[in-house]
Amino acid sequence: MVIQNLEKEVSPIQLEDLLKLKRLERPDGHFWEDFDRKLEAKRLEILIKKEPIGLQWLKSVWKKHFRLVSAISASACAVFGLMHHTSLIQRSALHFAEVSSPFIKNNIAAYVSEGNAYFAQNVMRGAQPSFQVATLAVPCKSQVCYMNGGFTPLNTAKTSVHASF
Amino acid sequence: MEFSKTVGKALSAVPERNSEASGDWALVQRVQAGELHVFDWLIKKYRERLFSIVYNIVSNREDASEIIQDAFIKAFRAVPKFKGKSSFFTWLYKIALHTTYNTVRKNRFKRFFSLEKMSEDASSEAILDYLQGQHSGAEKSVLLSELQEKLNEALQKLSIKHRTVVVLFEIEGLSHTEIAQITETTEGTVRSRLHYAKQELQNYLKDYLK
Repeated sequence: MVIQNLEKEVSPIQLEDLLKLKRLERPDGHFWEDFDRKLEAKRLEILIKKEPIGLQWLKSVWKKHFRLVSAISASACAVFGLMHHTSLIQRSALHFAEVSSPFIKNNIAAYVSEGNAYFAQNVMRGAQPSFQVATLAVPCKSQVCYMNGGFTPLNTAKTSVHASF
Repeated sequence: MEFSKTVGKALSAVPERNSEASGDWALVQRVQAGELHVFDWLIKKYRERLFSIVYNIVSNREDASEIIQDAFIKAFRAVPKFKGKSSFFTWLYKIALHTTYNTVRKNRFKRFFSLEKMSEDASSEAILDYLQGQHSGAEKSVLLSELQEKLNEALQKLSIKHRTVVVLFEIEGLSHTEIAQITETTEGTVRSRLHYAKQELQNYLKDYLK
C-alpha cells in the first residue's frame, strides 16, 4: 500500500492518459434510440424522393466543375443577350418584314415592305447550285435579305445579294 | 506507468481491422446486391466509433449526432459505387471527416460544448485518485467534470486538422498509416501534426500534468 502510494506520487499523469479518458464519454441508450429514429427517417426520405438520374448527373457535374459550368453559363447568357438585343434593334428598324421560307433550290422569293414601299425580289433561276438572288432598285431606308438563316440589315439604297449553296 | 497500464488495459480494445475489413466487404457486397437492410448492421457496427471521432472533434453531442446521420446517408447513397479498394471503415471515416469539416466550415455547428457524461469506471479511478491527491478537497465528480471541460477546451484550441489527428491516434487508437489514409495525407504529416498537437496540449493542460 505504501509502495503504491509512493508510486502514485512519483508517477505523473501523461497526456495520453488524460486523452484516453475521452473514450469514457459515451452516449446512453436513449441517445441511440433517437439517433436510429432520425437516421431511419432521413433514409426513407431519400428512398422516396429519389432524384432523377439526369438531375443527379447535373448536380455531380455542378459540384465537380462549378467554376467551368458557371463561366460557360455566363458566356451563354451574354451571347444570348447580345443576340436578343441585336434582334430587337432589327425589328425596331422595320415596320414590317416578311420573308419566304428558307431557300429552296432554284425557287426563292423574298418580300420586303417598308412604309408605302413595296419591293419584289426576282429570282434568277440557274442550273447551278450557285446563283444570284435579287437586286433591289427602289430607294429605301433599310432593306433586309434572308441569308444563312438570319436577317441582315442593309442600309444601302441599292443592294445586290449573292447566295450560294 | 501505472496509469498507462490501467487505462490501456481497460480501453485498448482496438479491433482487429484486417479481418474486420473482409467481413465488411462481404456485407457491402450484399448491400450492393440489393439487401438494403444489411446496411443497418454496418450502421450499428460503426455508429459509436464514428460518434466518438466526430464528437471529440466538435465537442457537441447534437452536432455530432447530426453529422454522423448525414455521413451515413452519404455512405448509403455512395455504397453502390464502393469498389472495395480501401477498407470500408477507412472509406466511412473519410466520409464522416469530410462531413464534419464541411459542417464546421459552414459554421453551422453550435459554438458551445454539449458533453456526454463521463462514465466512471476502473480506468478513470486511478487517474481521479491521483488528481484528487493533487487537488486536495475536490470531489471526484467535480474533478471529473472539470477535467472533461479542460480537455475539451484544450482540444478546441487546436486547429481542426491537428485535433483530428489527436482524436484518431490517441482516442481511437488508429495507426499512423490508417490516419494517413483517412486524412489523405502522408504518414510524415500525421506524425508531425501529432507531435505539434501534443506539445500544444501539454501547454494547455500543464496544471493537470505536474
